[in-house]
Amino acid sequence: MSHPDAARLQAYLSGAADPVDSAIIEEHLTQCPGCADQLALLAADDAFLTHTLAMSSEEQAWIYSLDLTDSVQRQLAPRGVSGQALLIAALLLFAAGWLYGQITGLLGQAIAEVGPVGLTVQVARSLALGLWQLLVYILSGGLLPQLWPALALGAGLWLLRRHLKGVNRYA
Amino acid sequence: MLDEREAIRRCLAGDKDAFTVLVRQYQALILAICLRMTGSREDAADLAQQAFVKAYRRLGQYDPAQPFRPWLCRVATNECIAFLRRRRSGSRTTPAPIPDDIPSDEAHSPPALAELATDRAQVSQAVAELPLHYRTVVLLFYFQELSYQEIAAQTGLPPGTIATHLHRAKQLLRQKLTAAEVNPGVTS
Repeated sequence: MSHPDAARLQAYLSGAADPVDSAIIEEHLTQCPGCADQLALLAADDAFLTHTLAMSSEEQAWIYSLDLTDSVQRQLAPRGVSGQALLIAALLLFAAGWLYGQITGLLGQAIAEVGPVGLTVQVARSLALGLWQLLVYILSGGLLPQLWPALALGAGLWLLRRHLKGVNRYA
Repeated sequence: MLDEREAIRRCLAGDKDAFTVLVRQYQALILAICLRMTGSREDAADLAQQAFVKAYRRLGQYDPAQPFRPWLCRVATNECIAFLRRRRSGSRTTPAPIPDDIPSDEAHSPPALAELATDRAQVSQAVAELPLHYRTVVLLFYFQELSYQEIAAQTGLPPGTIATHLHRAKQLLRQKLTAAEVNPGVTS
């Protein structure tokens, strides 16, 4: 058989090769001193790395000097509502109340003038007309001067995103 | 003192204090994993803490029929990998491409890693400089001493790829340590 490559030998050494492949490699090792030497080197490296990557006594001293229990418990505790969140909620509530007052006022006035059905018809007709006029305006090139900067910005952002993805390809 | 299973059961019932038992029991192991993955004590302490918080929040996904230790190690390892990826993408530097055809050392007998390394710190530093996917497999295999099956379950890599990663990682370590021997003070 041909010489097993180092990855196959590594799998054999780690007991991860399937039984058939293990038997083939074992048979080969009895006849090939080069591969037997390579296997010995891999085994020596494995033993060395297992030993060396274990924690040194200094690292162990550092690890056992720490106690994470309090800091973890602090993070698990429910957080209170911040003052900033309360301020934002109050502003939103105020704005919503003001808007509600305006809309109900306007609606009440309109309903009083033309009735609920008439108001619905008027709103639908205005919307349809507005959309039609917008479509005609866009198709006739009327919006192009305003659209160009937006299109350029969009394209720029898209290109930037693509570039960043390319930079992080190995991430 | 609560045992592990009882502590997990109480945590799942909403008793946060019971989690202290698990933190106390496993903090040394999780700190060690984070230290080996990041090479920085400051980052390791932060990540270990985050890993425990994440483990608590995901405790519902843990299968009590399985041992707790490997599950917790997986949460910590994934936390470290995510951190290292974020840090690398934030650095905006393009890492050197990883050659698929690292020169084979089969033609001659290369020195064993033990012959090249002068001290433990040098090896740890060289491992910390390995590409993330090699480093992850090296630490899962040599430091956490997981089997190929366990590494495959954790990383989604097939066993053949794990063997290749281990072999290439050792080749890269050999190159780094050789370079450091030729140019002392330089590990990469």
